[in-house]
Amino acid sequence: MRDRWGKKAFQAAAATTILILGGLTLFLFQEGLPTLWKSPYEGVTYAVHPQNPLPHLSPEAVQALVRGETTWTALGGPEAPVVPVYLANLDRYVSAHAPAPLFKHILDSLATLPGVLFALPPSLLPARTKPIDVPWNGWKALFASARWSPTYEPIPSVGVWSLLIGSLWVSAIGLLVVVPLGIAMAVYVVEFLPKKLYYAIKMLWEVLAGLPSVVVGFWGLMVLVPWIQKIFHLEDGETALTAGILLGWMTLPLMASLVEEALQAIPPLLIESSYGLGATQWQTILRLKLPYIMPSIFTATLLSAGRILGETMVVLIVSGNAPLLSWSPLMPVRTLPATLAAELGEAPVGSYHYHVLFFLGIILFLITVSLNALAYVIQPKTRSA
Amino acid sequence: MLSSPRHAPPKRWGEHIATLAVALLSWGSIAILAGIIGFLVYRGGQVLSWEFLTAPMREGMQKGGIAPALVGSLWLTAVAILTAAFISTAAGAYLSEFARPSRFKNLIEFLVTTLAGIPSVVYGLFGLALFVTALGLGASILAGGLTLALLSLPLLIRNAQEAFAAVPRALKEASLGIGASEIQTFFRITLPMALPRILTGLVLASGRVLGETAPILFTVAAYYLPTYPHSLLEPTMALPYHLYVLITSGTNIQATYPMAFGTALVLLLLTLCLTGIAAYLRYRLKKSYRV
Repeated sequence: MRDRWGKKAFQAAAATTILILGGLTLFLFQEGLPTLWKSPYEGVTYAVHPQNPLPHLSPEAVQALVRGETTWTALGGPEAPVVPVYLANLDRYVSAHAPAPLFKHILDSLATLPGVLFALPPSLLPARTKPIDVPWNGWKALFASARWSPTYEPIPSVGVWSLLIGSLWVSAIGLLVVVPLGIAMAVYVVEFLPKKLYYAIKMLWEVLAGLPSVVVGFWGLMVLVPWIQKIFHLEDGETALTAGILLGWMTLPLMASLVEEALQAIPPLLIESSYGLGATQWQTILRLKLPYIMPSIFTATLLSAGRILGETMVVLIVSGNAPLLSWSPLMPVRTLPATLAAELGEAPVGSYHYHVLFFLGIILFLITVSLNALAYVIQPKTRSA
Repeated sequence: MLSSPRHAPPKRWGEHIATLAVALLSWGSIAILAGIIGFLVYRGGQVLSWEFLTAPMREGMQKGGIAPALVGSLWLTAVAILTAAFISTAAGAYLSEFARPSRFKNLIEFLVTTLAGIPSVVYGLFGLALFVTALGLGASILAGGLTLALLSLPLLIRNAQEAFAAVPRALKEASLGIGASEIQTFFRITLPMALPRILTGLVLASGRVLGETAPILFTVAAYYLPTYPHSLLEPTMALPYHLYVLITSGTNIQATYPMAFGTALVLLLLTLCLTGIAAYLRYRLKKSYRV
């Protein structure tokens, strides 16, 4: 009887993993999904001059008008300069400490301008204006744009593509480094390393795996960044390439130990047969061993990709952090996790910015979990032959 | 272990080059590790002093020491590892000793692998949403420590599972054979035998936890708080975050670099000691059990 309850306690401890993953998923989605239906300008009414013929404006049009990238005329509106008035630029027209009548008077006179565009809480909005509908589409804002400036007023741009592509660049370069190097290291350790040094090199891998990423990032900033800058004659060595190389190197212990494990598990009979046929050691490696463990190499690559995608601090320090669409590995990039780390501290809990960052967290979570789940499902089950 | 052929044909010259190439690549990657350590020891060693380790920071973090960050990091690691130790040992025992092959067991093993692959910054988001906001702990040592505990659970569970599985079957069966119950066998035989490996795993995990930055960014770390924490519900500075602050957002980056080198060296030495000890113990233990 006591035994059974004892075992239940152990089972409960194991079940905490379910709680953790469940809780993680729940909280990420609870905080991130509102991005899809919440608008960043809730509580703000858009209004224009009563004679402005436009029935509604898209958020992109509002952004372009405020940035001066388009005019009312181009959109089919009045022939007048754009006068945007929103909370963040109110002090351009009137001081926040102005007495209430003056404040109201200035807003009222702004309302007489034919090109005015108000984005204010209804309580501040002058009476003689026409409210205009600015429909917000969360999906479109996230996936139809590559501009990332999530705190821009009055309407933020939250296109995730520049960040996704930044992550893609860094991961691609990281994998290009880690996959060949990891395989080479595993082959060396299994085939050529003197037996005495085996545990020494495994210890070194362990040390490498335990290196704090912020320390690696610091070294990268001090040493690798200037090198890259010199070698490629760049203005700034903080690029996707720099981050990718460092991340690939950091992931080596994972990749190499997985490949090594697979190499050790090849049935000795196969290896002996190869030698029996007169194959050399390298012929055996290239024609038998590596093809034989191809599924394991694939699994190891998936796991390494997941690790590289999620690495935060190194990228934050050495990749230049520019949320721009980059078409070359020699440009600065910003990845998903680096964006989270850099911005979440400044985003007030519950704000639109906060929800968007959690949405990025969901994307990152889904990508890494599916990479890992895929690796788990397809991993070769023949551990020991 | 070594599968090199005893009677393989002599190598051709191309094969010698290939062998040389994999050797160079392997030792080259290790050399970078040595390079990083050497670089930081050289540059950071000039800053290291007793005052650096025991005094708080002064003058906009350009002078003084790193003691509050050091103490904060130790607190965080202690909270994380103490919390994770019990859960992970019990969970590992369940997976290795008590669970019959079942769907539930498969599910748990799958979840452990999945959790191990989730980026640490996502754990940070979770910690922010759950501990800091929903449970109202605020940015505190407790919130950060618990976040770090969650992060280290997968590694620790797998370690405990392997530790229990490595205890020779004959001993467990002998205990059961003289009439001990499964739970008695576990506490009297299996657990004491597995303890060295479990502790090794805990040391290794504390090395990892100590160096983690992303999960503590939003759950505990204070930008500048040169005092020592009085309770677990206070925020604190921590070494990795302090280093990050020093190298990215100081008012005068050039002037803070010596401090950054010192901090990086201390952080590096602490993690190197912990992972080094653990790795050494681990491979000695692996050798000793080979029958």
